[in-house]
Amino acid sequence: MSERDRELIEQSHAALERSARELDPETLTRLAQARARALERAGRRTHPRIWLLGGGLASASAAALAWLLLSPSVEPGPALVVEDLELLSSTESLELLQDLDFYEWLESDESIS
Amino acid sequence: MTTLADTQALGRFLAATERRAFRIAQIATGSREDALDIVQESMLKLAERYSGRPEQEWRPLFFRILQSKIRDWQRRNRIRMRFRGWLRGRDPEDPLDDSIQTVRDPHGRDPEQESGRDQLLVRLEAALRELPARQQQTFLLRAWEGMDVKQTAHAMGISPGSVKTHYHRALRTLRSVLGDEDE
Repeated sequence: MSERDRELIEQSHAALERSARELDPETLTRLAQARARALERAGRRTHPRIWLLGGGLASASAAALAWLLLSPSVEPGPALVVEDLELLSSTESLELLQDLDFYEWLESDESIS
Repeated sequence: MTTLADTQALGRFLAATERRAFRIAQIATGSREDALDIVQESMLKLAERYSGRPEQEWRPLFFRILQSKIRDWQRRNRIRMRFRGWLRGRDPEDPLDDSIQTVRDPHGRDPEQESGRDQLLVRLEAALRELPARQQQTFLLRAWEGMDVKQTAHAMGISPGSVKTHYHRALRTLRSVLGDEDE
């Protein structure tokens, strides 16, 4: 990168920073309102779906445990029960489900562009 | 899960980012109203879908969302301009009709009439608006936001090679336009 490029970048950066600092009051108010709306949305985001999923997984774990322990045809060893429970109640499942949402969005976004 | 501490951290992140995000969108659209809409939609999407993610992921995610919203706006605007051109009986491929850079918001500020704003900024904005959209955004993310090639590529959804090309071309054009005026 040449000295002139560096100079251009520095001057542009300074000018754009100034322009962002000197936004008019109405624009600043609108931005603050937008931020407040976003934070309200984030605050409301107590993850009802996650709670639902958590509840669902807990119920599934309990049902699986009951089935494993009470079913006369299956006699699992204690190690198998613990292993199954770990799989069923793993918090990674929740993270994976959250990530799926993210990857799905990224994929759809990339397919557009 | 989004905790109160997460929400407060998100508030600090958005407050520190919103002005630059607004200016990036405003330069892209030439419209204050559209830029405000784009920033608001980006904030809402980040808050709604990604506020529970680690804090260090917010910046790349937010700028990726912002860039996506800007591209959506550009697509819609291109269609709108073609439709208007068609209504007026003009050639839809006419570059005059297809130029998103010519759109000005009725409430937008006219740089030429803004007293007290420095002349470099006025000329820089004019030059940036004349750049092709990707060159413009690459320049803003690299030179202003300070993103590296990889971060810019992620934000814009293009390859690192394309980022280098767009940035190089943007610098060359800006140097030529702004440099010539200085001389």
